[in-house]
Amino acid sequence: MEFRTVAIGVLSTAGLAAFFYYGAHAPQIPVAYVPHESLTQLPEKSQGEISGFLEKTFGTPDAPRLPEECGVEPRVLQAGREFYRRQCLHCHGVTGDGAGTTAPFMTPPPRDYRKGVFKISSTMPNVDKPSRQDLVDTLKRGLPGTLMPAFSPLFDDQTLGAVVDYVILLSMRGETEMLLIQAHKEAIDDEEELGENLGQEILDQVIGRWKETEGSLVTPSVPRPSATEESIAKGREIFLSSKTNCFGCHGMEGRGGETGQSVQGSEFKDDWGNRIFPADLTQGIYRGGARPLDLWRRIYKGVKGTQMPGFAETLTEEEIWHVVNFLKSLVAEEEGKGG
Amino acid sequence: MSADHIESHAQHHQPGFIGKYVFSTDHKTIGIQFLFMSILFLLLGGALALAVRWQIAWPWKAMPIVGEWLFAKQGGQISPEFYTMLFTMHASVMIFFVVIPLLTGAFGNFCIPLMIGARDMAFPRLNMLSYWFMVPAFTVMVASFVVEGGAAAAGWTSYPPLATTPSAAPGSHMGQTLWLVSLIFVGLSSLAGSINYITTIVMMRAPGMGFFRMPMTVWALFITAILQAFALPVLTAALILQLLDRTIGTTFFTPQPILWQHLFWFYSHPAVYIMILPGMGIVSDVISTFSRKPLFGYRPMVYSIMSIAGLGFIVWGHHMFTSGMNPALGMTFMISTILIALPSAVKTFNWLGTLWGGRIRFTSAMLNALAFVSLFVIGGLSGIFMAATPVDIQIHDTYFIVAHIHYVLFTGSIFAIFAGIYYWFPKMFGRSLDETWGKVHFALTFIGANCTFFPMHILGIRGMPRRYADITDIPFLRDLQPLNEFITLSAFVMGAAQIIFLANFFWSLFAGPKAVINPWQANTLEWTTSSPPPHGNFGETIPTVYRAPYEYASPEVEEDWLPQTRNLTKSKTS
Amino acid sequence: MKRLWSLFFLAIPVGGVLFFVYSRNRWWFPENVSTFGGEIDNLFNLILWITGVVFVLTELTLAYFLFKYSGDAGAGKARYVHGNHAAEMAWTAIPCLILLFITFSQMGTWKKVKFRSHFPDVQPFAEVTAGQFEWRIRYAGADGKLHTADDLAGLNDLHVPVNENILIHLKSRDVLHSFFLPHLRLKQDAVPGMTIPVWFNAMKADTYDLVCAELCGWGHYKMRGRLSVHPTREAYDAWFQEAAAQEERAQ
Repeated sequence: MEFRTVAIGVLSTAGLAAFFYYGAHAPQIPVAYVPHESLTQLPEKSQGEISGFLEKTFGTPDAPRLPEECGVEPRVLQAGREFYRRQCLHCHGVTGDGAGTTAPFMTPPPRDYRKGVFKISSTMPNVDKPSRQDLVDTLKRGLPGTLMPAFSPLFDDQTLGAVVDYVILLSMRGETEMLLIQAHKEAIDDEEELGENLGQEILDQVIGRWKETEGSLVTPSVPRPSATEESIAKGREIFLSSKTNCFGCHGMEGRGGETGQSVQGSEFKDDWGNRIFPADLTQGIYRGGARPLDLWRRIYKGVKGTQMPGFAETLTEEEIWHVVNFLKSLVAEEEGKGG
Repeated sequence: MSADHIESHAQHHQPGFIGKYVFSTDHKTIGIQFLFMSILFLLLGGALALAVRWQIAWPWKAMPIVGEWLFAKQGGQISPEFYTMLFTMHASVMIFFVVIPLLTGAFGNFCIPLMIGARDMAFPRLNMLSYWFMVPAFTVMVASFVVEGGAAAAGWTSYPPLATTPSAAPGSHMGQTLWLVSLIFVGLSSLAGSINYITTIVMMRAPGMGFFRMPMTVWALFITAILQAFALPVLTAALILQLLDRTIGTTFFTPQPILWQHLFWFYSHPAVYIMILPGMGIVSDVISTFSRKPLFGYRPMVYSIMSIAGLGFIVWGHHMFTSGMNPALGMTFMISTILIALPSAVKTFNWLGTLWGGRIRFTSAMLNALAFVSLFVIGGLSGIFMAATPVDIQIHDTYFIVAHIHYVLFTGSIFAIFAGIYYWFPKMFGRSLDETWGKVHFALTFIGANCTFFPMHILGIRGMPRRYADITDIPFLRDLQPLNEFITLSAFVMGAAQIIFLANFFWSLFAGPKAVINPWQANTLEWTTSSPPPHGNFGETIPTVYRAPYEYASPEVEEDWLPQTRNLTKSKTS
Repeated sequence: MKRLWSLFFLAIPVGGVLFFVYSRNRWWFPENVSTFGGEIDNLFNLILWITGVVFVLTELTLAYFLFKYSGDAGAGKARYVHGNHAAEMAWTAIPCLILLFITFSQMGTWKKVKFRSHFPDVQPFAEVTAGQFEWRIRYAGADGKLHTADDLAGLNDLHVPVNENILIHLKSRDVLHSFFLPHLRLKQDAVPGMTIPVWFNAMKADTYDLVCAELCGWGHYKMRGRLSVHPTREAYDAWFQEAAAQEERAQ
């Protein structure tokens, strides 16, 4: 055999060995939660304390954990984590900070759960968080007008419920982290000693806010009046009244965007600092669902984290229904035009 | 430009290193430049394909190298927009930077003047320009990987509005614009090349080299060049229109996205023939040489190439049966598309006819050429399914079409390219490739390719749509996953086999044994000059051609080959 | 030794046929439930048989020639033949006839499925609007007209009654999508700016997959829905009433 044949053989074998070595050794890359940006500004001791507490309470991305009082089985959490990895991670990120790899290219950007604020909720106005069912509903129908897809009907409520539990974990963890950072910062500024049980206190506070949602559901006590011309006219009157000032943001024709007087010259931003615009109510695209009941709840409770207030105090339940009827008529009118 | 001028140019000008290897006007150097550049991109395109297959077989599992390198933050699992970029760039790179430049750029440049007995191309500077237009194309395409949003991710077909709306996909930001710019350069390059080829073949054939004495490789490249010259301007125009849509806000494709599909396929269907016809030419030469027998049905072979090219212009709509195009048009495109199977069948039967009664030598080049014949049959026959409009309703945009395109472009074009490389390597570099490893490389590639692409027909029949990052959540596709894993493993075997090729190629390039003038005992003109041929190709005088290119086993001489240049009357009298 | 290469090429027809036979029992077409789906399957099988026979014969010939005429098979020169006019005529004319036969056998079904002039004469049942990455559905309701007050909105889950001709108006909100019902042998791109009618008739009640078959962005693979075929018209009507009530639910 020629020397060359041997040489090529040796080279090839080396190449093949390297190739299959890499192929067969899928990397085991440990995944870690990303600390909040402001954590690094604290002294190292505080950083260590906070990270340690978070890991003790919530585990790691590979081994998630929730305090026992939340009542979520580890098995469910694991299932939720699996689903989250496959379907949610690339937008919402490992930490739930809305900084996944796809996120930079999305308008509006994916939600950062760490604030503990969720826009769409149907719990009582005094309750901060959305109910578990609200989150499941959001997963099922997606958020029309955004890139959040609908996961119904191919995934059942049980699967989606598990993801929601995992998302709640990420939200709790993020909120606890932020409150801890805040507390540490204040303590340093005021040169005070931190309480021994600070972490536990804050955690209880956060868990408490989620616990509040149980059994808390806003439901109108009067039935929806039929959408007569009279009802629609009443709704229009309320929409255009200074009491509600709906038209100030959504515009006289309900077209949203920058047509409202109050919007012009001012930049509306949500709690995450993203530029937002009042909804165009003629399009029939509502992030929180298009059923009359959904609209009623949105008006009653408002949209958390934005400039849309709740009208539970200002309007009667019946008046809200008139507004709903009016809004539905706007969409019908627009469709009549466009065909 | 006259032949005299080229001759004097060849004799008086001794280029320096830069002039010889970089800014060369010599067709052989330009061909080799195309060859090296394309082999480089073949590796890139292959790596992209393996990444695609990894994701399909083991969705969201940490990907080797890429995962660690780019996605460590999320445990090495890639993101779906990265996946769309992977398959978009795999196709773009393979089609525009590998198969077309290898066949028309590398073999076209290297073979045409040598095989017709010319000293160089008709326009050597235009020829150099056609290579240097590819350099910005390569650069821009590679650069697009690192711009914000990554490289283009709207599929190699770049259908608007996905491609024209920046918010529609991450790769539709800067990446898509750069993709368009790059392909406009590719278009200019190919246009310059094809004009040059046509002129050279029409004007500069050696004395006695009638059209019907040209080797099939030259015929195929000639028809390809015509095809390219007429189809490519349409794509280039469409690319410019899309570029305007993206940059200055025109709306050529916004109210009517189907217009893009018509313009795109008007080029890109003929492009499939641009990618297969030269391969058919190369394979005809190789099979005749190593069967030691004249090519069966030379003229029918030429006519079938012509009719493939002719019909190739009126079949583009078969990519659009379900696009919303008027279904009546679908009928006419079905007829023309099914008929294009006919010349392909004629060619196959003629290759079989050539083998019949031959004395077959199983060299590496021959094995690759035989693989082309064997597997092109599969690609050709599976095309009939898609041409049949009702059947296409079910299998359009599924893996059936992925199987079909790879049987044509991989096991077709790439095997022809390997055949060409094994065949002309001694002439290109003056050294020989190692035959043993050539055969091992062939065997592994052949097995790997079939195990990769054949099962894809079944994926398509089941209805698995192409360009899906993950099928495991779709109930009716879930049980295909074992098949997908098998395909991916086979693809890795096939990819690994190319390491052998590279080792053989580069070792032999620098340390292979010196090649003789005519190692294969072939008849055509390139085998009458030294290996590698000198600047100007043929010594003092241009050879004179006395006969057709495939006079093997001729009873007139003792040997079983009879070169085109041998003058029998003269040798008898002397 | 050289003759071994012919075995190598023989593996193609043998392996190919065996693999198809194996797959036929394991990974073949999804069950057909469409009235015209049977015709499409038959046309597929027709082409499969014709091309299958051609494939096997061609590949066997190739393998046989490689075996018979391999270089060490015999001394002397190869046959000095340049072609054969009769053979050329035969292998041009016969495939041509077969191909024309295939072509003309396709036309009836194509007309039936895609020609608007051959559509069943029914009112539109629903409008399906594709968008990144979901299917928005609008049922025409009792009056059989779209965009009226009794329309019902749905998402990703298209409900239809069994054994009825269903006419769908297909639209797109953003980019190209493709409405693909594999069990019904139906595929049609949704094009922004166009309303494209498609029809089908499902013969069996069950739920089936609805997938997108035209690249529509990063979430292409996530864009899947469901077709729910109700066993009777009554069952469908009951579902519709229930869904409508749900939609309008006040309490």
